[in-house]
Amino acid sequence: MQRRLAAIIAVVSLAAAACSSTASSPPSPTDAGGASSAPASSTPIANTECAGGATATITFWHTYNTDGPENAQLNGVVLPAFQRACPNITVDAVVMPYDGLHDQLVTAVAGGGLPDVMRMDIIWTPEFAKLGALTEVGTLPGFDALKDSVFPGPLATNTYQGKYFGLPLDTNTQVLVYNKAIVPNAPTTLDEVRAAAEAVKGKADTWGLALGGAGPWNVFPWFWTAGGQVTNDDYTKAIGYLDSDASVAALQWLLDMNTDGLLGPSTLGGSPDSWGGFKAGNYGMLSDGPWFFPIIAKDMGPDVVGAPMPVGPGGSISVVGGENIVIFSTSPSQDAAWAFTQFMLSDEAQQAMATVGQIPASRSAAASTAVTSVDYLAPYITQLDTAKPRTVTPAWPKVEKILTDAFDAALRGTKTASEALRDAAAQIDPLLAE
Amino acid sequence: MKRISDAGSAVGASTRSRRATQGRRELRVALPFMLPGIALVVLFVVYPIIRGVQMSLYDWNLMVPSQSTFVGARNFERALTQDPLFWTAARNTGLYALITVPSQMILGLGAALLLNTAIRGRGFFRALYYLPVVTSWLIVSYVFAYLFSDAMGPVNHLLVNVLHVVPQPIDWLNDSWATAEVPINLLGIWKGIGWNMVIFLAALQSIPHELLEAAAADGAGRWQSFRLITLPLLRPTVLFVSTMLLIGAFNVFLSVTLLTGGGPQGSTEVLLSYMYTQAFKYLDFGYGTAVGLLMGLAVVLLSLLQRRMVRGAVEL
Repeated sequence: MQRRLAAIIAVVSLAAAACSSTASSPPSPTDAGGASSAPASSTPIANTECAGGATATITFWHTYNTDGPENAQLNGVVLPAFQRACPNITVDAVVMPYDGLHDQLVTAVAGGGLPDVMRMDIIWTPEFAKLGALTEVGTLPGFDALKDSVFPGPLATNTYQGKYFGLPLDTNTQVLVYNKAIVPNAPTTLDEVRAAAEAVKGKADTWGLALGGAGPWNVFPWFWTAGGQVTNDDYTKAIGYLDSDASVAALQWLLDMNTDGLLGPSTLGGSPDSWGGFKAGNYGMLSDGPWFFPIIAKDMGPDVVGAPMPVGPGGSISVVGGENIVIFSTSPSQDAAWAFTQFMLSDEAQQAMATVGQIPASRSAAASTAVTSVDYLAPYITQLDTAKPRTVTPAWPKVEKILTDAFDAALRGTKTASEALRDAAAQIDPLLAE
Repeated sequence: MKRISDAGSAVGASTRSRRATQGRRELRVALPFMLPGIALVVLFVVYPIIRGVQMSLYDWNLMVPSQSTFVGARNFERALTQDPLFWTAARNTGLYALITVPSQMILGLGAALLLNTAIRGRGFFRALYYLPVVTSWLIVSYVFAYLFSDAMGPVNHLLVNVLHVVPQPIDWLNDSWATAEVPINLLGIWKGIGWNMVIFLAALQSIPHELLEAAAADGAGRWQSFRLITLPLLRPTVLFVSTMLLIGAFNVFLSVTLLTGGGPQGSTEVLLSYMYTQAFKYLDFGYGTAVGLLMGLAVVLLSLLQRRMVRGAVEL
């Protein structure tokens, strides 16, 4: 069986080599396995896997959780399936703790010890692409087919200077989560959010809405929904967008909520924190990711409901989270790494991880019963249609700090909304131009 | 030395060559013992410093160091003339030294004086005061973060509900620069008292009893004999301790990172945390090492200054 598969691959790769001029993307020097555009193939995975049959071991860093079922699913289902499809490639999967991982990666870039493939936070990809640490996958055979199979928002987080350095592996976003005991009816507009918060004002230790912090991840869904903008569409300019009248008004909506005592203290780092406060009944509404349901809401009964973000002047816009899968340029096994990457985006792997709560980046897997059978995921899938990524730039760590400081200063009242946003935009523009 | 130079040149030459061969022989014996130490110092101190100086002159390319762009002194220029956050960090570090060093010494000396008398449970108290010193920064930082947490924190509870000195709970760590510096500095002082106590206790016990007894016989009160006998004899210790503490104060990092993360809005950043942020968060290793070198330079200058003071003290 194994030998037959190897023979098939050899034949297919010969055919692909012969016809590679028809490929829509130029074949790269690392193209040893075959091409998706080979006439014999209809599915891109089948003939590119196993990287020409050479034996290889690749290291795969990931942050799948170990206290939940994700890591077990990877090792028990996904990797054995890959092993069956590609017996010549061994995957050495290593669980990495998310805390400190960015710094650990930086150290590995400088001192060696990078893995071959990694599932990394979407906000890091442009940064490490700029460093030259990542393989440009946009030119690899089969990329175009995969590109069309995934959601565009998550895909956009893989770009640096117009080139692709990874593929989205899983995605998530935030939706409005509310506790019916405090907020009886689903607020569908920002005005209704405010009204619901005003209704509980005055009750001891109770706030209508709470944010998990003043950083972009927590503020963006409300800022965007209220009509704010951060940059232009290709992330090259913040002046004129972040400091526009619409953006100032959007931030002002949040500031008014705060000054009127409708916003919980967790927004500015106070206690109770957003999860603890929601659980204890201090907070009526949050915006949060899908992990909120298995971790926090599972003990709270049917009163906790998720719904798409309410509609404001900007629409109902949330923020894209999740992970990309990338290949490091230092890897000696580029072909095997690419074969594994493609496998991880196949319906088989995507659905297997979806059953443990990973929202697939691939549209077809997202529409499968593995996803639709989990009822709390429904608003997230809806929300993903309009969710936007955070500013896609290698300078994101600095941009994030500038935005956090700006939101923080405005919420504390040390700057007005327009001062804070004007200062931030002026600091961000030179970073985007770098 | 004098004898050799007074003697004839022939004698001097032979003595010199004999001494040289003897020196060489001694070196041959000593070298194997010294080599591991030298190798470690070169590997972990000398080489990183040289490399650091090199990096600070470049816009450092982490992935391919050979492709780094040489920028000369621009990283230093940027820190000193264009970066207000660097000066915020420098100010906070200096302030931390100014506050924590004298406080630790006074409290440490006080504890040492108390424990220098024959009270019951001396060993117990000594261990108690020393406990914070050997406890990990990580743990005590989290303890302080809990103590100074906002509404429900013990410190706020004490101030608001028990002592009634403030009307509202204070969000110590997040509210402003002034409130966030309180737990940072208190932690630095509290954690250092025990070390000061041990050093001062050793110094106190080396003070001859006769002196104090003679002073008492001459009619000196306790305060007089402390001021006129104990304190002058402690002077070298005071200067040693202050030098060590100053260097320690410049190394403040973990407590700031864990308590405030440099916030709110970067206002509590210290030099080391700022260096770390530049290098590991923003991947600007050239600038990060420049900040680190500037800090190292400040420590060297201050230590030299203090050594001059020590020399003055010994001559007294």
